[in-house]
Amino acid sequence: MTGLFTEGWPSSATAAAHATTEKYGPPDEASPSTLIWHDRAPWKRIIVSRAMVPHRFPHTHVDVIKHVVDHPVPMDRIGDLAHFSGSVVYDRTRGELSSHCEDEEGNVLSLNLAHDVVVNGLDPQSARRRSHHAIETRNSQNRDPYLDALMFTPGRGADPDEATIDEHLRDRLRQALGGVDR
Amino acid sequence: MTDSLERMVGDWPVEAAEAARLTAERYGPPDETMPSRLVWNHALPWKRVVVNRDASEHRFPMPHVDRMENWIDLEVPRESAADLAAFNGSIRVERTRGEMAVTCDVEAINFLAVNLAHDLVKGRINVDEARREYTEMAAGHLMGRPQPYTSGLAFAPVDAGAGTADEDEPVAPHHVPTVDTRRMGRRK
Repeated sequence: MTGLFTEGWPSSATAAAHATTEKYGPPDEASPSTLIWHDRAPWKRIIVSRAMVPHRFPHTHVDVIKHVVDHPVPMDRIGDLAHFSGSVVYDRTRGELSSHCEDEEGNVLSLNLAHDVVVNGLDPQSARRRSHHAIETRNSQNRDPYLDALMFTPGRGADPDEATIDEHLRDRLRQALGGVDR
Repeated sequence: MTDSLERMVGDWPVEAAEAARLTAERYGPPDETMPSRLVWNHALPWKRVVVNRDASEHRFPMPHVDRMENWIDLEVPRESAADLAAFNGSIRVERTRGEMAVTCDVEAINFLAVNLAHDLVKGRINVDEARREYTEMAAGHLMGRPQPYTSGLAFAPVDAGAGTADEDEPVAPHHVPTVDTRRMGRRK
């Protein structure tokens, strides 16, 4: 099915698209560069891109598939999250946490570790070491369960912030600018 | 072009369809279309512009909905991630790709956000100053007084391939499984 959409795509992106279709059915949206699946539990959204992004952590690979969940991140944990992985991205207004990797299990691993960093206080370096070890041993009997399923329940975390332009400020600006509010 | 764009956004909310029309007027027809988003690539000075059908609520600096994403290449140090998020929750940093996105309802306010984000990353202002200047300049813009920071990029955007991407590095060398050499030879 995805063969129609991924013609001419690099093999790694095609493989991610096929694996996702096998597991979740055909994509809900498609363009020449992007496939999107919405609301495929536990994921809020899955995006496979034709563009490959080189990434060397925890091992050399290309990022082609992104998995998105709702997950709040307190402001004082965002710095540690950034130190854990550049491919884990937090969208504060939407309250979305995403991971971009070569396959789903890589994203499951990264999001489980991101949750530990954000909620359980795991330090970024320990998270990076566990990520490396999990990839090293993923085909062994000592396979890390963090590769296999989310260990947390996604929860709404949108943060719309607060208004800072009030009537008082508008009045002050009107006077300062000597103009009329259009 | 107009007819096809109208078909694309025909079932979109009115505000979303209007954002798509304004973007098409400025940058031409979108390069990619999907039911929930339109994408313009290399819409200078932006690396990419995305208009989304679905909006998210945002109240800073005044209640509106985020719908329009404007992307640039920018190297954002790990240490700046928390400050950017504290300044404006609608700034998104993709460190591996070396990209940053700002999302709002109009392009002018995205210019303002990306200019202040750039000042913040370069250490010219702190989070409180960024929020205060954003508030005051956005208010001025809304009153019909365009500000330099709402009119375009106040810094020279880097060229594609300028090295903003951060591939990171492995924690330790990756162990590559090897096969016993005695079993690799041709069968006799």
